[in-house]
Amino acid sequence: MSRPHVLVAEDDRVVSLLLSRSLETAGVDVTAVYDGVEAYEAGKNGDFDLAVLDQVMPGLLGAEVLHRWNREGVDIPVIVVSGLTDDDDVIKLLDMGAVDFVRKPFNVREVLARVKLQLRSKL
Amino acid sequence: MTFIEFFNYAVLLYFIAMEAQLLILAVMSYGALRKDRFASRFGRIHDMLTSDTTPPVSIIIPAYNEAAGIVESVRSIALLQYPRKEILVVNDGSTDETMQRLIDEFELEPIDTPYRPRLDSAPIKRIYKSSLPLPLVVVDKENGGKGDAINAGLNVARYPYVMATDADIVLEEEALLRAMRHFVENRSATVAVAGNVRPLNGCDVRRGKVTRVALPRRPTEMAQVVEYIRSFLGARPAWSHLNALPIVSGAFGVFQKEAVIEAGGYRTGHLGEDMELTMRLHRHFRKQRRPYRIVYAPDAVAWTEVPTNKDILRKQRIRWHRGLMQVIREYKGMLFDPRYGIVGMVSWPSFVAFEFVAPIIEFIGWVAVPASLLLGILNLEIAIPLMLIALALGAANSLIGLILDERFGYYNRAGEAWRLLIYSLGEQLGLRQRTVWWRVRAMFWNPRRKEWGDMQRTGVGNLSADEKVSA
Repeated sequence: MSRPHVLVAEDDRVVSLLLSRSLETAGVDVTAVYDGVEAYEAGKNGDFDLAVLDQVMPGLLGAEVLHRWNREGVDIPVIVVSGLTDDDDVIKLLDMGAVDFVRKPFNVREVLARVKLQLRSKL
Repeated sequence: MTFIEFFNYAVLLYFIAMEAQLLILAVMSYGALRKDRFASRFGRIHDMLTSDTTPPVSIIIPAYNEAAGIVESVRSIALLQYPRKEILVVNDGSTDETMQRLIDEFELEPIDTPYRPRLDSAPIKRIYKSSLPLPLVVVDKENGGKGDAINAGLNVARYPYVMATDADIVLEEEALLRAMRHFVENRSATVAVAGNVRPLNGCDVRRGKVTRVALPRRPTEMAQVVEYIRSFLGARPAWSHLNALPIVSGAFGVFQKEAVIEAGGYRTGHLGEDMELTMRLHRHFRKQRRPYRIVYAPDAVAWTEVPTNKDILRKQRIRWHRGLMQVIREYKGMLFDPRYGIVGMVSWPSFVAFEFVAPIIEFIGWVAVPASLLLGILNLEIAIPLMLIALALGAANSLIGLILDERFGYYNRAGEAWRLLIYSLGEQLGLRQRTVWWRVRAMFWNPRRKEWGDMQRTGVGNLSADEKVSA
């Protein structure tokens, strides 16, 4: 079985690298992008099993990327990573179809565990 | 000694006094920055990011015909690192697509919310909220001017602190945290925090974020970089240290909402509304003998596009000077009134003497002194050393500004230090005189002939400031 493919959209290069390396070690192929517009384009044109989107990114916010994908029928399960503290916003994100939410600052192991949970059939 | 001789020497001594005052301020600024640097380095801004007790902030963006850049502005503000914030765009009766662009991009939906105005403003048409998980509220109102729009924003704002900003600035990610640190450190007394405004020209901006800081190419822009550095670092830290800051820039200031409302909110149709509000806050709190602080935060940085050509710059400077004149007329009662403490006795008089009166005296000086020298009226042995002292002090002030700026480490590529140095010294011979001339012109204005000097805005999107200008 081929390795699952995950899109990591995070504008902080250090966090992105940390996350990507951990995911690769866990047996996942990673495409890293650094802003919302790149994430949106990558999702539209690529073949991903999962996307980890930072909510606060330049270009488009994570939620906007998810919203546009929904509108255009791009069907990628999305985990949103964010420092949002308003519960209403988290609920809105889940209503929009995000499969999971991780609050920032996060423990990489937690993100990894949640990614694995989503990919369990493929790992 | 004839009158002409006396007059000439008086002018030269005035120059020296002005530069000496700036030098004293610059030295005090050095001390203030040094002290604050410790606090900002070991302070709590990163703790603030995750703390539940960090006070929430409403960010008010007044927008009038900003269709080209409003969406990018909102995205740029959304990038600010801050735990709890609300973005409040006030559409001030725009006649372009501003409102529609916001509705389309951020999925706005009208909300029914009780509106209890505490400040007067033009009527509100509707209030919208984004249906995306983005803390965005848009107030659609009839046109009333920038101050009126901010007042409407203050009425709608949910949070106890408000940040007032322009749609066309780019804030550094940590700018709001750095400004709010001063409220956290002295929550009972701090009523306003002024940010540091730097010229964006020459820098690269990508998707609402400054990605590379660099000096601009055009001399007009370079001169303004040097000027901003001198003004924002040479004098403001010292005034802030004395709690006598005369202006919280309209481009980036954070206020305690109650304090602004109590003082009467923003004034509409004022050419110097930011300075007017700052002076009103000083007067309000000092008159009532209540403890308060208006603080300057040099590490909280907002980048703004400054005029790229001489004509727009001239109009901007004439407008600023007229705004200053308007504020001086309205607050002349504070001059030398001991009730207003250091503001009434020191900072406000010196501001009036050296910002308002200076251009007239400088202008006369640049004409009279050389003419008198040529005609042989002046004693060269006295006049020339006095002139040299004045110029040397001026150059020293510019240099101290650069040294103070150096600690922030923005301009550190090859050649940049030299260019800053050359422009700093060159400013004394030529550019400064030009500004003096504009200020003198501003004093003889015809209020019916409005010269606004509006810039062509193209938004804070992907282009560098240089590209934007030619685009």
